[in-house]
This record gives sequence, C-alpha cells and structure tokens, in this order.
Amino acid sequence: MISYLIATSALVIIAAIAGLALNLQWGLGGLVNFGLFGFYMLGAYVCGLFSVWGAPPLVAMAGAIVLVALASAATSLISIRLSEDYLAIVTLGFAECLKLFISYEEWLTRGTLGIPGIVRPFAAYVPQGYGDAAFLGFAVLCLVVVFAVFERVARSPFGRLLRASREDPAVADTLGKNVLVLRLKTFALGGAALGIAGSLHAFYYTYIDPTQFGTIITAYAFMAVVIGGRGSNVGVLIASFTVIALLEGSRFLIDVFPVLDGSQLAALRLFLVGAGLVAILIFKPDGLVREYRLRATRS
Amino acid sequence: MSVLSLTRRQILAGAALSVAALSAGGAFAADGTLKIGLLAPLTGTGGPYGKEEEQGAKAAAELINAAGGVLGRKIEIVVADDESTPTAGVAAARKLIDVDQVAAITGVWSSAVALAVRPVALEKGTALLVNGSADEITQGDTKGLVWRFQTTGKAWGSAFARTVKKDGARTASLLVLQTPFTLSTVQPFIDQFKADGGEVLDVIYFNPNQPSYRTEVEKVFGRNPDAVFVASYIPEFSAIVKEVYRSGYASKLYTFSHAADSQGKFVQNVGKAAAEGVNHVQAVPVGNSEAYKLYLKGTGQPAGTIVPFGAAVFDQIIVLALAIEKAKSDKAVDFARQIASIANGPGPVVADPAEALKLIRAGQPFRYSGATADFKFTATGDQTDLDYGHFRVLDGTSKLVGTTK
Repeated sequence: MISYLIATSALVIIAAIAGLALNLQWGLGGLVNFGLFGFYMLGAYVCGLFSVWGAPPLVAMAGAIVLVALASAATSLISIRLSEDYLAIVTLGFAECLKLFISYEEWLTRGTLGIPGIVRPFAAYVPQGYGDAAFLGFAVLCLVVVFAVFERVARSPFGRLLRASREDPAVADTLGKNVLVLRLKTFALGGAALGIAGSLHAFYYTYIDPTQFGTIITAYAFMAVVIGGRGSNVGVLIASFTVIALLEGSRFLIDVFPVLDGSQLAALRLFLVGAGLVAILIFKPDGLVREYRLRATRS
Repeated sequence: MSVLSLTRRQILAGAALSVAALSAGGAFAADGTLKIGLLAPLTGTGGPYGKEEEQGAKAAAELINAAGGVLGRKIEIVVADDESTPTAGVAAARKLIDVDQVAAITGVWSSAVALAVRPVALEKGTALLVNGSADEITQGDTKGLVWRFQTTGKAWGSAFARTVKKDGARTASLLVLQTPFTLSTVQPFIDQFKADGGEVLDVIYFNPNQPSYRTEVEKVFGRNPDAVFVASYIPEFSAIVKEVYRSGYASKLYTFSHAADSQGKFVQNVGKAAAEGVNHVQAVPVGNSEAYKLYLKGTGQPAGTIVPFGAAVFDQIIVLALAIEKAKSDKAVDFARQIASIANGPGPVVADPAEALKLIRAGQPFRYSGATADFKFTATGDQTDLDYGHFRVLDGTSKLVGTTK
C-alpha cells in the first residue's frame, strides 16, 4: 500500500506543477493555453531523447526546461494578433501538430513505438526497491522550487502587472507597459515549469509514447486551476491533490462493490469522477482559495 | 455565502478520507485466495474488447476453482480498467501490484499499455501476460516474466500476405491505423507479398478517432487494388467498411478477426450487406478446439462465436494456474519458468484444465492445447508454430474458408 501511495503522490506532484504553470499563464495572465499538453509532451520527449542518447538525467531535464521555455515563448508571439478563444485554438493546434510530428517522425522519436529505458535522476545511488521514494523526493523538490518562484512572481510588481493585463490589456498598454513582452515572459516561465513537469513524467514512467499525451492533461490542469481558485498557487496545490485523489481513489470502488462487474464499474467510475468535480464547483464556485491581492494597510 | 458551501478543509478531508476508506477495503479483502490481476481495456478505444476479457478470465477461474484451485487456494480475478491509455494503465497496474498484490497481470490489450506497464512489472517481479502484438513487448531483458498470448506483429503480417496471395490477388494496398501493433505488421506483409510475386500499390496510415476516413479510403481504393489489408480495430474498421460500401469499391477487404467478428459486433455495426465478403485472419483452431468449447460454455456463448481476445485471456488464466501448480509457488520468478513447459510439453495433449491439474498433481507429463490456438512458446515468450485460419463473412456469419501457415 505504501509504495502505491508513494507512486500516486508522484502523480499529484506532476499534476501540481502543470497546474501551477497554467495558473501563471491563464490564472494570472488570462492567456488561455489549451495547448498545455503539447509543451508538457515536448518536455517529456526532449528529456527522454536526451536521456537515451546518453545525457545524464539532470542535463536532459535542463535541456527540456530550456527548449520548452523557448518553444513556449515563440508560441506566445501569436498573441500579438490573437487573444482569448483564438489563442486557445492556435495553442491547441500547435499541440496537436506536435503530437502528429512525434507520431510520424520515426527517425527521431521512434513514432508510436515510444522511447523505453529512460533513466531516472540519481538512479545509480538509490538502493534497490527505493526508486519510487527517491523519485518522489526529487519531484517534491522540483515542486517546492516551482511553487516558491511562482509565488514570488505573483506577489511581485510583475505579478501585479500580469493581473492588470488580464483584466484589460489596453489599459496596461496605455500606461506604457509592453504587454507583448509581458506575455512572452509569462509563456516562457510557464513553459519552463511544463518542461519540468514533462521531464518528471518521462522519469516516472521511464517509457513514453505519443498516446500518453492528450487533451486530458490540459483538462486536468484546468481542473486544478478552476477548483483551486483562479490565480491562487496554494489553491492549485490543494486542487491537484483533490483531482488525483478522485481519479485514483475511485479505482478502489471495485473492492467495495463486488456486485457490479468490471466494465459496469469502469463506466460508473469515470462518471463519478465527473460528478465529483461538478459537485465541488457547485459548492465552491470560486474555487478553494482566493487569489493573492495586495492590501493597503489601514491606519 | 450559500448554505451548501463547504470549506476547503472539508473537501480536502473528504478526499483524503475516501482514499483511506477505499484503500482499507482493498487491503483487507478476502484472504486465502490467490489473486490474479486482469488489466482490461474496459473504456476507451479498446472498450469493445474489455468485457469479453473479463468474461474469459472469470470462466477460466471458475473451471480451475471447480477442480480444487491451485496450491489448495481458490483463484480470485481482480479487474482493473486501463482506459486503453498507458498512463491510466500504469496507475491501474500499480494498484494491482502494490495494493492487491497479484501474482500476475493478464489481459493487457493495447501494446502501448503493455510497453508502459512492462518496466513496473519487471521492477516489482510480477508476471505480465499480454494480448498486445507489438514485437517490442517481448524484446530485450524480460527476466522471463513477459509472455505474449497472441501472434507477433511480424507473424501476422506474413500470414496476411500469404492468405491474400492464396486468394488470387496480384496487387494489394495497406490501410494502417497508427499504433505499435498494427505498424509492426506492415513491413512483414510487404516483404512476404513481394517475395510471392505480388505488388504493393500504397501504404496509407491513419489516426484513431478521425471524424471521417473518406480521404484515406479514396486514396487507397481509387487505384483498385485486388486486395486491401486494413490493419485496425473494430471501431475504425467498421467506419472504413461503411465508407467503402457506400462508394461501391470492388477491392477485397482483409483484417484481423478481432476487427471483423468479435462476437458478431462487426456485422451489427455495419449491417449484413456491407459486411458480405469481408475476410479476416486469426490463429486457429479458435473455432473448434476442445479448450475453445470449454471457453464458450463457461461464458455462455453459442457455438461458432469467434472471440479472439476473450479466449486469449481464458488461456492466460489456465496456463498461469497450471504453471503455479507445477512450480508449487505463487512467486512469479518461480512459476514464470514453468509457463513454456505447460504449452510445449513433452507429453500427451490435454485441453481440459481439470485433467491437466490432475496430471500435474500426479507428476505426469502433458501439454496444454489452448482455446485460441494450439500454440507453443519460444524462450523469449512469443508464441510459435501457429496455423492461421482464413474466415469470410457470408450472410452475416464468419465461415472458415482456408488455412495457411
């Protein structure tokens, strides 16, 4: 049981990092990134490929962070002309194109056969049987770093400006702020976090293939941000735990209701996960935690 | 503030509590049984095959339990849904291994799921019995734990080429779904077909869940090849056949039996008229072996029903049970070594698991002849020595029209 909880906690951490990235881009910046899973997939593939080409895991991960940040920043340039729904469509299109590229360009990515044998960081120093625990420790460390940086950003003048541009980019522009550069930085920073999340995904499964990445990853990230409370990093952490707890906890239904057969329960389970998420939003329509606001001290 | 509002503490506590309560239920489930995991595709693209896998596994477990179980214990099948995706598959497999502590994971349908679950199973020392055909599943160091109850992609490909050629086709095209399994059949088909003097016109790939297959169908069938090998599963194949029927193309269609029959689902999908003359190929004697009859009886299906995946899972549970009894151990490292000898012999051929158990207890030699096929195993965990049946859908039912090596 303990090793199961350790493995599942690692999933929570990965989901939380992806959620934090979306919270920065969409929660604070108002930039709808439906293509989140594409950047996440890019991170996993860059890390996985560097790793099987012989790079040490941490170097592969660093490569993934840098490349995803760059790709993400480049994608943000389309927001010069597009915003809101249109930005969402274009980012989604980017992600789907990337998935097709990875599925068909076998010379580079091995196509749908995927990349096996990805080495986890510090694997050589971890005693047999403690691999998952060590990985969880490493993932927690990554989450702490991402959380600390993003929390700092949210409370800084940069975060304030980001929220201002979310509410009305024209006003921010009129006040002499360069909204495009702001969005570029936001996408790059979010991309870096997605590079970390993607790398952790590759390390966790040690095998990646294109079917592991789909719009469902984007959906989980949106669930984490919406349930957590748009703009709140702490909320995202709590919501990631809630989403994964619903998804994984519902697997145990099968032991509680032995009357139903597996295929009935499988359908029921996915239905219940959806119902649970809807219920949370009915009871807490603004999410679990409010976003950070600078308050003037009253005398 | 609404009256119904919950605090976030309450939601968090609720989530934690549900995990704790449910997991407690898992850990303290009935003891004294031998648990075998079934990682079935109950939802997602493999959805059409999930239920038959579950029925096959339970029918096999009942037969074994009626014959006294293994090592004096009853077999219990623990079912988990892999949602036909590798990530959900790994999560479900971890639950089976870490929480339910199953001796083996069976029924892994999608090759992508099998490839993703493989590292976890190898690390934890759990046996992995798969339905997936991608050659890579059994390649590399499997520690003797990975066994494939299915033809390899390579063998499928050349079997199809021979069948198509035998049917009199000179030109053929391939329409291939983008998955590890179906892709692995392409090159072997081309090589074999060319070696037999045939000509391959086109190889077109397509993605699952496309809204329409019209472009692909027109591209392939527009050149009027004698035969078209459609490497896909039942949802895509049904859509393609409807498209071909509507456009009135004359090329003969060939696919896997699990795409063109599987409990008659295919004919239900497309109608008798569109299904008429569709060819499908499958390792035999899936239709009439002794073990297959036991399988049909156990799952309450009429004679003549063709259910490749259900029967494969049936075989997996029987072979596992026999191997565990023979090894006198429920540890995967011990019983996995016996799996090959159960199918390979030497000894007289036995199809009834109850009889096989008796022979093991008496220390007598035998070999198990499976429900799906009279298979033997290679040292690497692949099936070998298979005959392939060529079926044709005529008036809504599949008829065996020939066999090939």
